Amino acid sequence: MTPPNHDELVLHEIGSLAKPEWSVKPKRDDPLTEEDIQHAKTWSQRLGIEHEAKPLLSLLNTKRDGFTAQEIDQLTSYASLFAIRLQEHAGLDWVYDGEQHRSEMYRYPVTHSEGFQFRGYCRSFDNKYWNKAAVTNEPSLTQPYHTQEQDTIQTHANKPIKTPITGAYTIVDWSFDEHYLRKHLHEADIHPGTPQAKQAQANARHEFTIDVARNLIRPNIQALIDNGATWIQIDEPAVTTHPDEVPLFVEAFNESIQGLTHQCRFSTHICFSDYNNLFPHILELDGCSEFALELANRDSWKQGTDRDTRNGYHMLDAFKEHDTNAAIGLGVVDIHTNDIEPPNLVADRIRYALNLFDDDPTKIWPCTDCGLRTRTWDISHKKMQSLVQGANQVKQDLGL
Amino acid sequence: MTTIQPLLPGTYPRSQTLVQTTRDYDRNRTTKETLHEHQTRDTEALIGTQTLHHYPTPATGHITWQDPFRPLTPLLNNIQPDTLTRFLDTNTFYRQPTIQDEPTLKADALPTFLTRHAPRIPTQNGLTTLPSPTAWITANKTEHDTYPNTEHAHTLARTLYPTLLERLHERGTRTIALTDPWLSTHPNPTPLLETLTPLHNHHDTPHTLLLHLPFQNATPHLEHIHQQPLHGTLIDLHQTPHDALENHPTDRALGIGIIDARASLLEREDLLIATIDETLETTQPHTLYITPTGPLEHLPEPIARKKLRLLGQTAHTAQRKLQGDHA
Repeated sequence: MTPPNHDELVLHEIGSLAKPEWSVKPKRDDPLTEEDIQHAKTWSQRLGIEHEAKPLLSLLNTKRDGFTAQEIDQLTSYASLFAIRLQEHAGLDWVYDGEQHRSEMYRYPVTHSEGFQFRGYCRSFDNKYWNKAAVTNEPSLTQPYHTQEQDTIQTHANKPIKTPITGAYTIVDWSFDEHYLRKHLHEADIHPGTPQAKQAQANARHEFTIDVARNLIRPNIQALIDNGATWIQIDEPAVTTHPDEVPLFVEAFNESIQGLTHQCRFSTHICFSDYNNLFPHILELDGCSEFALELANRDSWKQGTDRDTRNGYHMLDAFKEHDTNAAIGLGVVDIHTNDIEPPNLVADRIRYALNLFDDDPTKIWPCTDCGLRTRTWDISHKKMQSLVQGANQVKQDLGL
Repeated sequence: MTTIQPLLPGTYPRSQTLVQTTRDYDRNRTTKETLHEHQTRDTEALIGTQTLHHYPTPATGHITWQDPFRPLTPLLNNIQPDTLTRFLDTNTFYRQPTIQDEPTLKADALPTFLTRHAPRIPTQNGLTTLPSPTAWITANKTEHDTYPNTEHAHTLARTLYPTLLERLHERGTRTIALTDPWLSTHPNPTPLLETLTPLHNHHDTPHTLLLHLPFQNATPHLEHIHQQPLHGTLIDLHQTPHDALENHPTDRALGIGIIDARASLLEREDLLIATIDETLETTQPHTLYITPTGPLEHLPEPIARKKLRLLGQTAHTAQRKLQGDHA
């Protein structure tokens, strides 16, 4: 799919969308319910894809459980189709399939890489847990893990595709280290709690991160480009968790895309943290076209384009102050609430940011705050429609 | 001669079975009785492992606690669990205990708290970790870098803690670790530390009171901490330099966090022993507690169990070595 020839107010979603039960349950060997079947029927009608979805509906009409591996793959492919049409129908410029092929952004890449072993559940919050892996050997790749997904998406998409991938720093930060620490601490006979131990830990972390960037991320990116990718978003939600490690993120990002910057558009997504910690280090990023930022979550819902009203967007000051030579992926839709942002509010948020960046629409690319996977398709669709309608108001202002 | 003991302050991780059972319970797939049965099993297994590995002061591990504050907020008027907040620089989140007004005790909620969240300790010589009164303030940093009024910590120290400590004593707790992982992130923690004074003065039960400062460099605060009416301090030796221990008062217990509570790699015992030796060359407290650098809940339980055992073994070996050296 040829990318649009404009870079003004580029509209996109960040990554994940909810997975339909009719795709998830068969993987768990849970039987489908009438409600699950109805979901597929309703959405095929809402999105105007009854004809495309006909084989899916036929399959779901014939069986509720006992799906074969081939049928499960078909269901995933249809989930991918629906998620893409959801975004296209809403009017976004660039689309993706909302991670319909992936378990989630950590487990999927780690499961498909060599050198990691899952160690068990760690608490995320309340009674929610996640399965955390440890690196036990130098990470490597048996084969690129996103190209099959890309093949399916390319088959379905009518709009250009932006592919999100989990970045090296986040994979490292969310994993235990039993390989590099052993080498730098134990094999060097370093006592815990000494200054030498701190330095050894830093060296281990650096080596681990660069190995992931070089051995896992770059080959995946190369494969995606060879397969036709034109925009790859490197997701790094963990990057500002350790402000002192932002330089390590920068080094890993550059290592991940080394030699590839002229073959594809690269961007990064960072969320739910203090973006001031990124500076000045991110000025050293090589070939990053966009910083996609969560911002709406911090903002008021009042109408207005003045600074006091748009209190969630003050974090943009640092991006204005430094010339990052990249667009802002402007989060204008909160992913944590079912309330739908009115288009006028979305428009005001975009107008505020535009005003800050000299009314240059190539600097502001409106998007959702983060992936919408915790919202229903109905809420996600309405939020994306509101995003588009709000952006269209601004486009009209600017005569675009 | 210094007595060397292993100690497990803070929350211990749930077993993989209990994680699954809790998930099933939350999704109405299992009963409350099954959940309670598995919670009890986890607690008993934890105490059993500590007993087996020579922990003189075993902890129940707060298996049912969702974060350091949640079980306690129902005991208080004017404090509510609120915004999900990142716990330091980890990938675990807690709910900030938002203080709306002067907190007061809901005494009638105590029995439920004790039944659900404070199991009896069979040895009658147990350890319970509670958030330090200071933590109710330091854990509550807002987006605009402000904190609640320090006076609320004084109020909590006068109202909640004396009653709580008394009831915990009845259930076998003899040592209390007052934990504050955020103390060093507060811009001016010195006045906050004064809130510990009424805790010591007002309770009649003979608890050993320890201030627990996990995951932080305690150096800037140690001098002032030593002036507080406490029986000892537990510090993270990965973050706090050795030379900060030089002025540790010998009449107070010292705890050194030497097992990394956030790394799955199991430590080498010989290197741990060497670190203990270095500590004892710097200071000779009457009791030296060997601890993890913070609560082990940041590890999957099978790994936490290995570290728990290693901690016990290491303290045992170090004590024997010290006795041998002494002889």
